Amino acid sequence: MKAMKRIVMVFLGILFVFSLVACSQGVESDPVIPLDINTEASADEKPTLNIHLQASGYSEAELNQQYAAKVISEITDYNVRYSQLPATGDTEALDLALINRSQYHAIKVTKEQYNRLVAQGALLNIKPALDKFGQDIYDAYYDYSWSIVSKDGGIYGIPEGGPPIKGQTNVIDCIIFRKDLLDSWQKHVPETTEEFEELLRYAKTEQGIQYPFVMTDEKALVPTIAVAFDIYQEWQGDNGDYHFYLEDQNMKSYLDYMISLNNQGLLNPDSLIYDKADAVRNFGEGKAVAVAVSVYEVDAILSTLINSGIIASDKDSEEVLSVVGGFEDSNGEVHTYHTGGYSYVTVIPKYMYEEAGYTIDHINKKIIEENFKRYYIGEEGVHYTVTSGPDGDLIYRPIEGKFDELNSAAGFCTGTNPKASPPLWRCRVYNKEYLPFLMTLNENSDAEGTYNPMNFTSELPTYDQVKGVVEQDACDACLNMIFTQKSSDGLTAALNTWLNAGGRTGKQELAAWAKDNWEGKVKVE
Amino acid sequence: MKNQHALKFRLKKHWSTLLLLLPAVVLGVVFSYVPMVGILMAFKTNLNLYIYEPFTAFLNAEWTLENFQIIFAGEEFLGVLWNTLYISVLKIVVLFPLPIIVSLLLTEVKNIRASRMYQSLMYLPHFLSWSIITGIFMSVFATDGLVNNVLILFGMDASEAVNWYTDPSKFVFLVLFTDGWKGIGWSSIVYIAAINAISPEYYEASRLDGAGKLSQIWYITLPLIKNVIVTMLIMRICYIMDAGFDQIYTMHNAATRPVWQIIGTYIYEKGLQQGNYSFSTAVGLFNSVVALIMILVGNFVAKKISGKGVI
Repeated sequence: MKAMKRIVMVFLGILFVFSLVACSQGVESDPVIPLDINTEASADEKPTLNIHLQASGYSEAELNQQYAAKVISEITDYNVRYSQLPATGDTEALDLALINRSQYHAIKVTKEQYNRLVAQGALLNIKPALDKFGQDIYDAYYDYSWSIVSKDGGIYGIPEGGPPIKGQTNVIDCIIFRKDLLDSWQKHVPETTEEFEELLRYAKTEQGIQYPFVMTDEKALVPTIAVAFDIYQEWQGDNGDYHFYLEDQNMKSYLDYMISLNNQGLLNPDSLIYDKADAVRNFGEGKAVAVAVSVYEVDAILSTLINSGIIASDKDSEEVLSVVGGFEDSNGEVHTYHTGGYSYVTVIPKYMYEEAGYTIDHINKKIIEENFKRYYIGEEGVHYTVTSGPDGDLIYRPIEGKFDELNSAAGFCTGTNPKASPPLWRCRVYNKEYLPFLMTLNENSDAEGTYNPMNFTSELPTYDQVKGVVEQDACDACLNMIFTQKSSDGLTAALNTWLNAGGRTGKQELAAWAKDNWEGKVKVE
Repeated sequence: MKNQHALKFRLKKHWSTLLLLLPAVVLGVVFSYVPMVGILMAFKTNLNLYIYEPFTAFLNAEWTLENFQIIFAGEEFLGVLWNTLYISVLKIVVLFPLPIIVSLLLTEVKNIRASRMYQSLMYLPHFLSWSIITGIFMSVFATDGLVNNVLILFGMDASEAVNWYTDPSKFVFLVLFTDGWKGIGWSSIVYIAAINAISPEYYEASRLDGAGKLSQIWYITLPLIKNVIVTMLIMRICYIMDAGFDQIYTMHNAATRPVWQIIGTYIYEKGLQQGNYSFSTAVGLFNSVVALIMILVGNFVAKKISGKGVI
């Protein structure tokens, strides 16, 4: 028996050593990217690039068969294999992929994920490769954009998005109303919170709609309503004084208003467990007269309304729906939330330095204007037509039926061409039902809109590590006050929790960053 | 020397059996024992696994007891521990007897076709994932869902619709209800098998003595499946620190956080979502120690009650 124990112990010992050795292959802490590579070689002589994208809704096999995937290989002369993060739990999956050293040459991450990873030292400084292979990338971007991804003289990613630019559509948060119902009730679309409440009360008591207003659990601040209480963004401020919405002096009034809606049975209590799709379904099935979601949900809402038999399929969408970006604030002015900023960053994991030169060369070729246009909106005469606008600018129009194969193209961007993309983007959304509503929301957006400075920051070393969690906790606390506690008394406690969990540091880091990079540095261009 | 000969002899004699056992042993060692080395992470500052390979990251991190200090100093963890035990104990108390009752009822159905149909229908929910079950019950228990509509039919005011999913006081009921709906049929298989194994002679003899159905269940069936019940109970107690991660994770929402945050979700949040692997390992280690104590206590109690344990 003793001998058997010894055998087992030796066996286990060998296994331990084996597993530890297997886990101990080192990675250089400051790797040097090989730049002496032949980027002009044929695709088969260069490495096949594994690009990890955000969730697309397609299976991985379908993703690799998309029109954009094929065209990108053709125009860049690289074989590329695409994979994607899961739709939910993407951050966890990303972390595990990096820890397991998954062989992704480039990964498209959210700005929040980027900030966390760069602080952890997980990302490769791609500046040497950009300097040699990325001239077109440099040319395509506004200078300001590089400050977002720069740290200690290095560049750690290629951003998507841009600084605030005049005339670009970026108001998407709204409340969508059933205009057809309002018309039949001879009611107009509300412009103030008082009118909104009155409309909801009428819908409930006179029209028998059990819960006339529905929202989601994703935001405790409904932008359209929050602006009426002078809360113009989740983070706002200036001159070194920035505050989170929990600290806003009007937050209590906002919460009390929402609680009042809930207490009167005007706000669907299931909103607390509704995601976007649930809220859209509820509204699309005719169970509500108003829904707080982004304007991009208009298409899904109209489909649901048609499928539910509530409206005819040929009904003009503007007769059915109406959108409001913001109710009047205490000064009788209308303000709206601007969602501009940087959404994604394409990064290279540090351990993938050996082929980083090829990766940057590939991305550079994608971003050249003609190439970008080719996979983003297809070929002229095949997928789109071009005409000259009144100001001499080019107007791109999709060719119906042919453009469908480009629906997924935006997901393949690893960095965009921000200077070239606005007219191309309009071509992409030309046939979308939400377009007229989006245009309505953005009619006066430059004058009315407010930006969230947090959407434009580079890495905030401490706060970025906890931002996702503490801001979610803050949101949950507010939702709880609205839906279950039915009292705003917990606001001070929620604020203190947030401050102590990292919020205080976040304010200081944001102020320090803004002083150097935001105040007076970035103007609406 | 003698022992070595005996060992050699035994190895020679049973080599083919040992060979069959080998894959299972290797799998057990590789996936159950070798990973235990990771427990040491609980005594280290957080490992930077993004930069370093695991072993290097482990060596670079400093030894510390801080993770345990955070666990024992914070009220947060005590709340999480309480929730875990509360939900788990409720599941044992409320749900553990139900499969036994169901199996007693099913074995009394004399029509074999009907009995099989009932069994199949009851097993079916076991094969549905928690995300599907949660989706189904979210519709059923929505404020404008089936249950509330039925309550309204019975006279409840529509404005008083019950918020089943978002009211913390109702959430635990929902957890128990859905867990029972999913698991009772499947859990009853063992008891049905045990009941079917009882010799019919016992029942015939009791009938001659004038025993009714209830007497037969009380004096024959239950005593004869007692060992199975005890074994299943101890096995259930082994999992007392697992209050049902999949279920809670799919059902949770902001409003019910005070009652749903259990150790499983806490480890997931701290470890996977916040990348605090050392702290979540410490929580996991504490969890395992408590589970081990519960197993030993459960086994001791079972031995006292029935004279038999499983350890």
